[in-house]
Amino acid sequence: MAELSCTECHKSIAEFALNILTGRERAEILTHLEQCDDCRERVADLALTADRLVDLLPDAEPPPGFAQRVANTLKPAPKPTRRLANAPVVAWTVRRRIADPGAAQRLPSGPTGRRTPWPP
Amino acid sequence: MGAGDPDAALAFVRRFERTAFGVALTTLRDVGLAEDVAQQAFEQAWRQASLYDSRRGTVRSWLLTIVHNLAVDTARIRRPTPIPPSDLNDLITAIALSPEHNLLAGETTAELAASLRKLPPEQARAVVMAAAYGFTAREIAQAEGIPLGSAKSRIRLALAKLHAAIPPQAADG
Repeated sequence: MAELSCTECHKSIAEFALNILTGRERAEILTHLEQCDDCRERVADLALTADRLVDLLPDAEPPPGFAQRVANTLKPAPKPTRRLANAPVVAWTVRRRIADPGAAQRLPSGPTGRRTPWPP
Repeated sequence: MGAGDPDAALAFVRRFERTAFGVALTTLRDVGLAEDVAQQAFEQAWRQASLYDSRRGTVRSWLLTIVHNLAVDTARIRRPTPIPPSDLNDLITAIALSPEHNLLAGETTAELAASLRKLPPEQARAVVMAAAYGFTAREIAQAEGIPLGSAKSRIRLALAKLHAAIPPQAADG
């Protein structure tokens, strides 16, 4: 692979900073940046500007219930042993129920299969 | 972050959900895909919370990078129908006006938005297609009906001008 000059590098450096270069072009720039402090500094500056542009993209309201659904999938990190020892067992049950609301209905029914009629 | 009780997880998602979903929706232009990608980004950020380095930026911008990278990767796999010019113009307007809608916006953001407004329209389109949609120079050339070299020049000139407009050593980005 022929090595790029700084002039050639500058032609594609903005695309590299915007993360839209692919394949061979990207590899050539990377190789040049490895040896060139000036171009590396330039690309870092431009990448910061590219990130700031992404920062300006408009917000949007997600569908209803989005935050709760996502939060349910975020598992808490393991707690220190001292805290675990004191943690009530019920917490895990409750957490499982939140994660799987259908679980209660799938529990086996009692031996008599007794049901309270509703409505009476 | 990334530790403790479920309330912390919910607070984390609530705080950033509009930002994360907004970026995913802008890049993907599909509500279902955007929801999936925003969720993946929250999961990744939560798992990798220990990698967050406060010296390199805010939690918001760190999360935004994760969402945007995932969204661009997803968009590249299933690039949908061409983007209508009016959608792109609306997006450029939204970006250019965003500091006026955001009371927390700092000097850097305002300067960047002002600079985007001053760009020749074809340069603004090129840099926004690259930054927001992750379009390559070739895709921009196709979308605009121009030679590849022209697309590359537009991207380069636009980003250089935007960069020059930001105050040096700005710390509020």
